Amino acid sequence: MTRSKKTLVIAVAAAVAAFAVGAAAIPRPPALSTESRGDSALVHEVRALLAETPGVRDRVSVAVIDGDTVREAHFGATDATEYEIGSVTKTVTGSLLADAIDRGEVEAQTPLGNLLELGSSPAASVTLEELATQSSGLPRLAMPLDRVLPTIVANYRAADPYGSTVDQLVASASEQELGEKEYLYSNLGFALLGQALAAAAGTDYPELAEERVFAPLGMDDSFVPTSTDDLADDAPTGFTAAGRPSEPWTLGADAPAGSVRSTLADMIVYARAQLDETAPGVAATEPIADAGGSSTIGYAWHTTDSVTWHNGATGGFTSLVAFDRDAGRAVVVLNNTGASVDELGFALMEDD
Amino acid sequence: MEYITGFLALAFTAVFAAGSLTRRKAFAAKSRLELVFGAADAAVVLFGARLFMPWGSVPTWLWLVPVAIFAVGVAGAVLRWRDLPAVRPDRPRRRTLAWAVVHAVVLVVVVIVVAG
Repeated sequence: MTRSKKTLVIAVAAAVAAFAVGAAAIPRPPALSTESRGDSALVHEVRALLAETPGVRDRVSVAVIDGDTVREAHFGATDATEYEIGSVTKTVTGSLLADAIDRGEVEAQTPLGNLLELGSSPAASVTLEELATQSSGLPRLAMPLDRVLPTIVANYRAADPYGSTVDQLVASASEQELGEKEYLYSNLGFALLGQALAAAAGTDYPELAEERVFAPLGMDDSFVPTSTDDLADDAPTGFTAAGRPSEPWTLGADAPAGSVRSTLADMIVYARAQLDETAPGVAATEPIADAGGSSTIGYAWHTTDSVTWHNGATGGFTSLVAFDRDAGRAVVVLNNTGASVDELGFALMEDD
Repeated sequence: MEYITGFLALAFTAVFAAGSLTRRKAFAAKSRLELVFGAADAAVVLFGARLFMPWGSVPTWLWLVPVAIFAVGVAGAVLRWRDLPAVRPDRPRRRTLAWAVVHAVVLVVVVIVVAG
Protein backbone atom coordinates (compact mmCIF):
# COMPACT_ATOMS: atom_id res chain seq x y z
CA MET A 1 0.00 0.00 0.00
CA THR A 2 1.41 3.44 -0.91
CA ARG A 3 1.85 6.07 1.73
CA SER A 4 -1.01 8.23 0.42
CA LYS A 5 -3.38 5.27 0.29
CA LYS A 6 -2.39 4.33 3.81
CA THR A 7 -3.07 7.88 4.98
CA LEU A 8 -6.45 7.84 3.26
CA VAL A 9 -7.38 4.59 4.98
CA ILE A 10 -6.36 6.04 8.35
CA ALA A 11 -8.36 9.21 7.63
CA VAL A 12 -11.48 7.23 6.77
CA ALA A 13 -11.03 5.01 9.81
CA ALA A 14 -10.60 8.06 12.08
CA ALA A 15 -13.72 9.68 10.62
CA VAL A 16 -15.75 6.50 11.09
CA ALA A 17 -14.49 6.19 14.67
CA ALA A 18 -15.34 9.84 15.43
CA PHE A 19 -18.80 9.44 13.95
CA ALA A 20 -19.36 6.17 15.83
CA VAL A 21 -18.45 7.79 19.15
CA GLY A 22 -20.75 10.73 18.38
CA ALA A 23 -23.58 8.47 17.27
CA ALA A 24 -23.23 6.40 20.44
CA ALA A 25 -23.64 9.63 22.41
CA ILE A 26 -26.87 10.58 20.64
CA PRO A 27 -29.12 12.39 23.16
CA ARG A 28 -31.69 10.19 24.82
CA PRO A 29 -34.06 12.55 26.62
CA PRO A 30 -36.49 10.91 29.04
CA ALA A 31 -39.87 10.07 27.55
CA LEU A 32 -43.31 9.94 29.14
CA SER A 33 -43.42 6.87 31.32
CA THR A 34 -45.25 3.96 29.74
CA GLU A 35 -46.33 2.87 33.21
CA SER A 36 -49.74 4.51 33.58
CA ARG A 37 -52.53 4.15 36.12
CA GLY A 38 -55.76 5.87 37.07
CA ASP A 39 -58.90 6.71 35.12
CA SER A 40 -58.34 5.09 31.73
CA ALA A 41 -60.19 7.77 29.75
CA LEU A 42 -58.19 10.51 31.45
CA VAL A 43 -54.94 8.59 30.95
CA HIS A 44 -55.74 8.36 27.24
CA GLU A 45 -56.70 12.03 27.03
CA VAL A 46 -53.61 13.26 28.88
CA ARG A 47 -51.32 11.11 26.77
CA ALA A 48 -52.90 12.54 23.60
CA LEU A 49 -52.65 16.12 24.84
CA LEU A 50 -49.01 15.68 25.85
CA ALA A 51 -48.22 14.23 22.43
CA GLU A 52 -49.39 17.53 20.95
CA THR A 53 -47.12 19.61 23.17
CA PRO A 54 -43.41 19.06 22.54
CA GLY A 55 -41.02 18.76 25.45
CA VAL A 56 -39.20 16.32 27.66
CA ARG A 57 -41.54 14.21 29.79
CA ASP A 58 -41.05 11.53 32.40
CA ARG A 59 -43.43 11.39 35.36
CA VAL A 60 -46.73 13.21 35.22
CA SER A 61 -49.66 13.18 37.64
CA VAL A 62 -52.98 14.80 36.77
CA ALA A 63 -56.26 15.25 38.61
CA VAL A 64 -59.53 16.56 37.22
CA ILE A 65 -62.03 17.43 39.93
CA ASP A 66 -65.72 17.87 39.09
CA GLY A 67 -67.66 18.50 42.27
CA ASP A 68 -67.35 15.31 44.30
CA THR A 69 -65.84 13.34 41.44
CA VAL A 70 -62.06 13.13 41.19
CA ARG A 71 -60.36 11.48 38.22
CA GLU A 72 -56.62 10.85 38.33
CA ALA A 73 -54.05 9.91 35.72
CA HIS A 74 -50.48 8.96 36.55
CA PHE A 75 -47.51 8.22 34.33
CA GLY A 76 -44.63 6.60 36.21
CA ALA A 77 -46.08 7.88 39.47
CA THR A 78 -48.74 7.36 42.11
CA ASP A 79 -50.80 9.84 44.07
CA ALA A 80 -48.08 9.70 46.75
CA THR A 81 -45.21 10.63 44.42
CA GLU A 82 -43.46 13.78 45.60
CA TYR A 83 -43.10 16.75 43.24
CA GLU A 84 -41.71 20.26 43.54
CA ILE A 85 -44.72 22.52 42.93
CA GLY A 86 -42.58 25.62 42.28
CA SER A 87 -44.44 28.90 42.23
CA VAL A 88 -47.75 27.31 43.16
CA THR A 89 -46.11 27.81 46.58
CA LYS A 90 -46.97 31.50 46.16
CA THR A 91 -50.65 30.62 46.55
CA VAL A 92 -49.82 29.13 49.95
CA THR A 93 -48.07 32.39 50.83
CA GLY A 94 -51.10 34.34 49.55
CA SER A 95 -53.39 32.19 51.71
CA LEU A 96 -51.15 32.87 54.70
CA LEU A 97 -51.55 36.61 54.15
CA ALA A 98 -55.34 36.38 53.98
CA ASP A 99 -55.29 34.16 57.07
CA ALA A 100 -52.99 36.53 58.98
CA ILE A 101 -55.34 39.42 58.17
CA ASP A 102 -58.26 37.36 59.53
CA ARG A 103 -56.26 36.72 62.69
CA GLY A 104 -55.51 40.42 63.08
CA GLU A 105 -51.75 39.88 62.94
CA VAL A 106 -51.30 42.17 59.95
CA GLU A 107 -53.35 44.38 57.65
CA ALA A 108 -53.33 44.44 53.87
CA GLN A 109 -51.73 47.88 54.03
CA THR A 110 -49.09 47.01 56.63
CA PRO A 111 -45.74 48.28 55.32
CA LEU A 112 -43.05 45.65 54.92
CA GLY A 113 -40.70 47.76 57.02
CA ASN A 114 -42.94 47.17 60.07
CA LEU A 115 -42.09 43.46 59.95
CA LEU A 116 -38.59 43.22 58.47
CA GLU A 117 -35.45 45.24 59.22
CA LEU A 118 -35.45 47.32 56.07
CA GLY A 119 -34.53 50.66 57.65
CA SER A 120 -35.52 53.62 55.50
CA SER A 121 -35.03 51.77 52.23
CA PRO A 122 -37.69 52.06 49.48
CA ALA A 123 -38.73 48.43 50.07
CA ALA A 124 -39.79 49.32 53.64
CA SER A 125 -42.74 51.30 52.30
CA VAL A 126 -44.13 48.47 50.18
CA THR A 127 -47.38 47.06 51.56
CA LEU A 128 -48.15 43.39 52.03
CA GLU A 129 -51.03 43.65 49.57
CA GLU A 130 -48.75 45.15 46.93
CA LEU A 131 -46.41 42.20 47.38
CA ALA A 132 -49.25 39.69 47.18
CA THR A 133 -50.71 41.26 44.03
CA GLN A 134 -47.30 41.49 42.30
CA SER A 135 -47.48 45.28 42.11
CA SER A 136 -44.82 46.29 44.63
CA GLY A 137 -42.38 47.80 42.15
CA LEU A 138 -39.75 45.30 43.27
CA PRO A 139 -37.82 43.50 40.51
CA ARG A 140 -38.42 39.86 39.64
CA LEU A 141 -35.28 38.76 41.47
CA ALA A 142 -32.78 40.30 43.82
CA MET A 143 -29.57 40.08 41.86
CA PRO A 144 -26.62 41.65 43.63
CA LEU A 145 -23.58 41.85 41.35
CA ASP A 146 -21.73 39.12 43.22
CA ARG A 147 -24.64 36.70 42.55
CA VAL A 148 -24.87 37.26 38.78
CA LEU A 149 -22.15 34.80 37.73
CA PRO A 150 -23.06 32.06 40.27
CA THR A 151 -26.70 32.33 39.17
CA ILE A 152 -25.81 31.94 35.49
CA VAL A 153 -23.58 28.97 36.30
CA ALA A 154 -26.29 27.43 38.51
CA ASN A 155 -28.81 27.75 35.69
CA TYR A 156 -26.47 26.00 33.27
CA ARG A 157 -25.69 23.29 35.79
CA ALA A 158 -29.38 22.76 36.50
CA ALA A 159 -28.72 23.66 40.13
CA ASP A 160 -30.77 25.72 42.59
CA PRO A 161 -29.79 29.35 41.94
CA TYR A 162 -31.28 30.52 45.24
CA GLY A 163 -30.17 29.77 48.78
CA SER A 164 -29.66 33.00 50.69
CA THR A 165 -30.42 33.37 54.40
CA VAL A 166 -33.26 35.56 55.64
CA ASP A 167 -30.74 38.22 56.67
CA GLN A 168 -29.17 38.18 53.23
CA LEU A 169 -32.59 38.37 51.58
CA VAL A 170 -33.60 41.37 53.69
CA ALA A 171 -30.23 43.10 53.12
CA SER A 172 -30.60 42.55 49.40
CA ALA A 173 -34.17 43.91 49.46
CA SER A 174 -33.04 47.04 51.27
CA GLU A 175 -30.74 47.82 48.34
CA GLN A 176 -33.50 47.65 45.73
CA GLU A 177 -34.97 50.66 43.96
CA LEU A 178 -38.70 50.50 43.35
CA GLY A 179 -40.17 50.61 39.85
CA GLU A 180 -43.70 51.50 38.83
CA LYS A 181 -46.39 50.09 41.12
CA GLU A 182 -47.91 48.00 38.37
CA TYR A 183 -48.09 44.26 37.75
CA LEU A 184 -44.59 42.77 37.60
CA TYR A 185 -44.19 39.14 38.67
CA SER A 186 -41.65 39.12 41.48
CA ASN A 187 -40.16 36.13 43.24
CA LEU A 188 -38.35 38.57 45.50
CA GLY A 189 -41.66 40.13 46.50
CA PHE A 190 -43.17 36.80 47.52
CA ALA A 191 -40.04 35.71 49.36
CA LEU A 192 -40.24 38.91 51.42
CA LEU A 193 -44.00 38.52 51.93
CA GLY A 194 -43.58 35.00 53.31
CA GLN A 195 -40.73 36.01 55.61
CA ALA A 196 -42.69 39.05 56.82
CA LEU A 197 -45.72 36.90 57.66
CA ALA A 198 -43.49 34.45 59.51
CA ALA A 199 -41.98 37.35 61.49
CA ALA A 200 -45.47 38.64 62.34
CA ALA A 201 -46.42 35.19 63.63
CA GLY A 202 -43.16 34.75 65.52
CA THR A 203 -42.13 31.62 63.67
CA ASP A 204 -40.39 30.60 60.44
CA TYR A 205 -42.05 30.20 57.08
CA PRO A 206 -41.98 26.37 56.88
CA GLU A 207 -43.62 26.11 60.29
CA LEU A 208 -46.18 28.79 59.42
CA ALA A 209 -47.22 26.98 56.24
CA GLU A 210 -47.44 23.68 58.10
CA GLU A 211 -49.50 25.07 61.00
CA ARG A 212 -51.91 27.22 59.02
CA VAL A 213 -52.37 25.54 55.65
CA PHE A 214 -51.05 22.00 55.43
CA ALA A 215 -52.13 20.68 58.85
CA PRO A 216 -55.67 22.13 58.80
CA LEU A 217 -56.23 20.60 55.35
CA GLY A 218 -54.61 17.29 56.27
CA MET A 219 -51.89 17.71 53.65
CA ASP A 220 -49.55 15.36 55.48
CA ASP A 221 -47.11 14.89 52.60
CA SER A 222 -46.60 18.59 51.86
CA PHE A 223 -43.75 20.59 53.33
CA VAL A 224 -41.46 23.55 52.79
CA PRO A 225 -37.79 22.61 52.49
CA THR A 226 -35.29 25.44 52.73
CA SER A 227 -32.16 23.36 52.18
CA THR A 228 -31.31 19.93 50.86
CA ASP A 229 -30.90 18.85 54.50
CA ASP A 230 -34.70 18.98 54.69
CA LEU A 231 -35.05 16.40 51.93
CA ALA A 232 -35.02 12.64 52.21
CA ASP A 233 -31.97 10.92 50.75
CA ASP A 234 -34.15 9.48 48.01
CA ALA A 235 -36.13 12.67 47.40
CA PRO A 236 -37.28 12.72 43.77
CA THR A 237 -35.54 15.06 41.37
CA GLY A 238 -36.53 16.00 37.87
CA PHE A 239 -35.12 16.83 34.47
CA THR A 240 -34.49 20.15 32.76
CA ALA A 241 -36.29 21.10 29.57
CA ALA A 242 -33.17 19.80 27.78
CA GLY A 243 -33.52 16.42 29.51
CA ARG A 244 -30.60 16.76 31.94
CA PRO A 245 -31.07 15.63 35.52
CA SER A 246 -31.80 18.65 37.69
CA GLU A 247 -30.77 19.22 41.28
CA PRO A 248 -33.55 19.83 43.82
CA TRP A 249 -34.60 23.43 44.38
CA THR A 250 -35.07 24.36 48.03
CA LEU A 251 -34.56 28.14 47.63
CA GLY A 252 -33.34 29.03 51.13
CA ALA A 253 -34.99 32.26 52.31
CA ASP A 254 -36.81 32.49 48.97
CA ALA A 255 -38.83 29.39 49.91
CA PRO A 256 -42.15 31.33 50.15
CA ALA A 257 -41.83 31.99 46.42
CA GLY A 258 -41.49 28.38 45.34
CA SER A 259 -39.99 25.56 47.42
CA VAL A 260 -43.02 23.49 48.50
CA ARG A 261 -42.92 19.76 47.77
CA SER A 262 -46.23 17.95 47.61
CA THR A 263 -48.12 15.03 46.12
CA LEU A 264 -51.13 14.78 43.84
CA ALA A 265 -53.22 13.47 46.74
CA ASP A 266 -52.41 16.55 48.80
CA MET A 267 -52.82 18.96 45.92
CA ILE A 268 -56.26 17.50 45.18
CA VAL A 269 -57.23 18.37 48.76
CA TYR A 270 -55.76 21.85 48.29
CA ALA A 271 -57.51 22.47 44.97
CA ARG A 272 -60.88 21.18 46.27
CA ALA A 273 -60.61 23.43 49.29
CA GLN A 274 -60.07 26.42 46.98
CA LEU A 275 -62.96 25.28 44.79
CA ASP A 276 -65.44 24.92 47.66
CA GLU A 277 -64.02 27.93 49.55
CA THR A 278 -63.06 25.97 52.67
CA ALA A 279 -59.30 26.57 52.37
CA PRO A 280 -57.55 28.62 55.04
CA GLY A 281 -57.17 32.17 53.72
CA VAL A 282 -59.45 31.47 50.77
CA ALA A 283 -59.99 35.23 50.35
CA ALA A 284 -56.61 35.11 48.59
CA THR A 285 -58.39 33.78 45.50
CA GLU A 286 -60.55 36.90 45.05
CA PRO A 287 -59.20 39.11 42.25
CA ILE A 288 -58.44 42.67 43.39
CA ALA A 289 -55.94 44.05 40.87
CA ASP A 290 -55.00 43.98 37.19
CA ALA A 291 -52.44 41.42 36.12
CA GLY A 292 -51.94 42.47 32.51
CA GLY A 293 -54.02 41.54 29.49
CA SER A 294 -57.41 40.25 30.49
CA SER A 295 -56.13 38.73 33.72
CA THR A 296 -56.62 39.87 37.28
CA ILE A 297 -54.88 38.83 40.48
CA GLY A 298 -55.82 38.22 44.09
CA TYR A 299 -53.17 37.25 46.61
CA ALA A 300 -50.98 35.28 44.21
CA TRP A 301 -53.92 33.64 42.42
CA HIS A 302 -54.43 34.85 38.86
CA THR A 303 -57.84 34.84 37.24
CA THR A 304 -58.25 34.66 33.48
CA ASP A 305 -61.83 34.63 32.23
CA SER A 306 -63.48 32.54 34.93
CA VAL A 307 -60.46 30.33 35.67
CA THR A 308 -58.38 31.05 38.77
CA TRP A 309 -54.91 29.56 38.53
CA HIS A 310 -51.22 29.56 39.29
CA ASN A 311 -48.45 27.66 37.62
CA GLY A 312 -45.01 26.72 38.86
CA ALA A 313 -41.59 25.87 37.52
CA THR A 314 -38.30 24.93 39.14
CA GLY A 315 -35.21 23.57 37.43
CA GLY A 316 -36.70 20.11 37.05
CA PHE A 317 -40.44 20.37 37.72
CA THR A 318 -43.48 22.23 36.39
CA SER A 319 -47.00 22.39 37.77
CA LEU A 320 -50.41 23.99 37.42
CA VAL A 321 -53.37 24.33 39.76
CA ALA A 322 -56.52 25.83 38.26
CA PHE A 323 -60.17 25.99 39.24
CA ASP A 324 -63.41 27.47 38.00
CA ARG A 325 -66.10 27.83 40.67
CA ASP A 326 -68.80 28.58 38.08
CA ALA A 327 -68.07 25.32 36.27
CA GLY A 328 -67.34 23.44 39.49
CA ARG A 329 -64.08 22.09 38.09
CA ALA A 330 -60.47 22.08 39.27
CA VAL A 331 -57.37 20.67 37.63
CA VAL A 332 -53.98 19.80 39.13
CA VAL A 333 -50.99 18.89 36.97
CA LEU A 334 -47.64 17.88 38.46
CA ASN A 335 -44.68 17.07 36.22
CA ASN A 336 -41.05 16.20 36.88
CA THR A 337 -39.48 17.95 33.91
CA GLY A 338 -38.89 21.58 32.98
CA ALA A 339 -41.39 21.39 30.10
CA SER A 340 -44.51 23.49 30.67
CA VAL A 341 -47.82 21.85 31.59
CA ASP A 342 -49.92 25.01 31.21
CA GLU A 343 -51.35 23.97 27.85
CA LEU A 344 -52.32 20.55 29.22
CA GLY A 345 -53.90 22.01 32.35
CA PHE A 346 -55.95 24.65 30.58
CA ALA A 347 -57.07 22.14 27.94
CA LEU A 348 -58.37 19.91 30.74
CA MET A 349 -60.17 22.88 32.30
CA GLU A 350 -62.03 23.50 29.06
CA ASP A 351 -62.77 19.87 28.34
CA ASP A 352 -66.42 18.77 28.46
CA MET B 1 -31.72 30.41 24.37
CA GLU B 2 -30.91 26.70 24.60
CA TYR B 3 -31.12 26.43 20.81
CA ILE B 4 -28.05 28.65 20.52
CA THR B 5 -25.84 25.75 21.58
CA GLY B 6 -27.08 23.78 18.56
CA PHE B 7 -26.18 26.59 16.18
CA LEU B 8 -22.81 26.98 17.91
CA ALA B 9 -22.15 23.25 17.47
CA LEU B 10 -22.86 23.55 13.74
CA ALA B 11 -20.65 26.64 13.48
CA PHE B 12 -17.68 25.23 15.41
CA THR B 13 -17.71 21.85 13.68
CA ALA B 14 -18.00 23.61 10.30
CA VAL B 15 -15.05 25.87 11.12
CA PHE B 16 -13.00 22.83 12.18
CA ALA B 17 -13.92 20.89 9.04
CA ALA B 18 -13.19 23.89 6.82
CA GLY B 19 -9.83 24.39 8.57
CA SER B 20 -8.80 20.81 8.00
CA LEU B 21 -10.12 20.32 4.46
CA THR B 22 -9.61 23.58 2.63
CA ARG B 23 -6.33 25.08 1.40
CA ARG B 24 -7.82 28.55 1.16
CA LYS B 25 -5.75 30.91 3.25
CA ALA B 26 -8.68 32.45 5.10
CA PHE B 27 -9.96 29.15 6.51
CA ALA B 28 -7.11 26.64 6.40
CA ALA B 29 -5.42 25.58 9.63
CA LYS B 30 -1.80 26.70 9.49
CA SER B 31 -0.34 24.27 12.00
CA ARG B 32 -1.02 20.96 13.67
CA LEU B 33 -1.62 22.86 16.89
CA GLU B 34 -4.41 24.85 15.22
CA LEU B 35 -5.94 21.61 13.96
CA VAL B 36 -5.86 20.10 17.44
CA PHE B 37 -7.46 23.15 19.04
CA GLY B 38 -10.02 23.36 16.24
CA ALA B 39 -11.01 19.79 17.02
CA ALA B 40 -11.03 20.43 20.77
CA ASP B 41 -13.18 23.56 20.40
CA ALA B 42 -15.67 21.70 18.24
CA ALA B 43 -15.78 18.74 20.64
CA VAL B 44 -16.41 20.97 23.68
CA VAL B 45 -19.20 22.89 21.91
CA LEU B 46 -20.73 19.59 20.77
CA PHE B 47 -20.64 18.47 24.40
CA GLY B 48 -22.46 21.66 25.41
CA ALA B 49 -25.08 21.19 22.69
CA ARG B 50 -25.72 17.67 23.86
CA LEU B 51 -26.32 18.95 27.39
CA PHE B 52 -28.30 22.10 26.70
CA MET B 53 -30.32 21.63 23.52
CA PRO B 54 -33.99 20.91 24.33
CA TRP B 55 -33.82 17.43 22.84
CA GLY B 56 -37.39 16.72 23.87
CA SER B 57 -38.54 19.40 21.44
CA VAL B 58 -36.29 18.68 18.42
CA PRO B 59 -35.57 15.38 16.64
CA THR B 60 -32.55 13.74 18.24
CA TRP B 61 -31.19 12.66 14.83
CA LEU B 62 -30.26 16.32 14.30
CA TRP B 63 -27.41 15.60 16.71
CA LEU B 64 -25.81 13.49 13.99
CA VAL B 65 -25.44 16.52 11.66
CA PRO B 66 -22.68 18.32 13.62
CA VAL B 67 -21.22 14.92 14.54
CA ALA B 68 -20.92 14.04 10.84
CA ILE B 69 -19.35 17.42 10.09
CA PHE B 70 -16.90 16.83 12.93
CA ALA B 71 -16.04 13.37 11.55
CA VAL B 72 -15.35 14.87 8.13
CA GLY B 73 -13.11 17.39 9.87
CA VAL B 74 -11.21 14.55 11.57
CA ALA B 75 -10.62 12.87 8.21
CA GLY B 76 -9.36 16.14 6.78
CA ALA B 77 -7.07 16.65 9.75
CA VAL B 78 -5.49 13.22 9.23
CA LEU B 79 -4.94 13.94 5.55
CA ARG B 80 -3.34 17.33 6.20
CA TRP B 81 -1.33 16.36 9.26
CA ARG B 82 1.94 15.52 7.45
CA ASP B 83 1.89 18.74 5.43
CA LEU B 84 1.65 21.04 8.40
CA PRO B 85 4.30 22.32 10.80
CA ALA B 86 3.77 21.65 14.49
CA VAL B 87 3.30 25.36 15.16
CA ARG B 88 2.98 28.38 12.94
CA PRO B 89 6.43 29.38 11.72
CA ASP B 90 5.38 33.00 11.20
CA ARG B 91 4.67 33.59 14.87
CA PRO B 92 7.04 33.73 17.86
CA ARG B 93 7.02 30.41 19.75
CA ARG B 94 6.47 32.17 23.07
CA ARG B 95 3.29 33.78 21.76
CA THR B 96 2.08 30.46 20.37
CA LEU B 97 2.77 28.72 23.66
CA ALA B 98 0.93 31.42 25.65
CA TRP B 99 -2.07 31.21 23.29
CA ALA B 100 -2.13 27.41 23.59
CA VAL B 101 -2.02 27.48 27.39
CA VAL B 102 -4.77 30.09 27.68
CA HIS B 103 -6.90 28.26 25.11
CA ALA B 104 -6.49 24.93 26.91
CA VAL B 105 -7.32 26.46 30.28
CA VAL B 106 -10.46 28.08 28.88
CA LEU B 107 -11.61 24.77 27.41
CA VAL B 108 -10.98 22.92 30.67
CA VAL B 109 -12.85 25.58 32.68
CA VAL B 110 -15.80 25.46 30.27
CA VAL B 111 -15.97 21.67 30.55
CA ILE B 112 -15.77 21.78 34.36
CA VAL B 113 -18.45 24.47 34.66
CA VAL B 114 -20.77 22.88 32.12
CA ALA B 115 -20.37 19.31 33.30
CA GLY B 116 -20.51 20.32 36.95
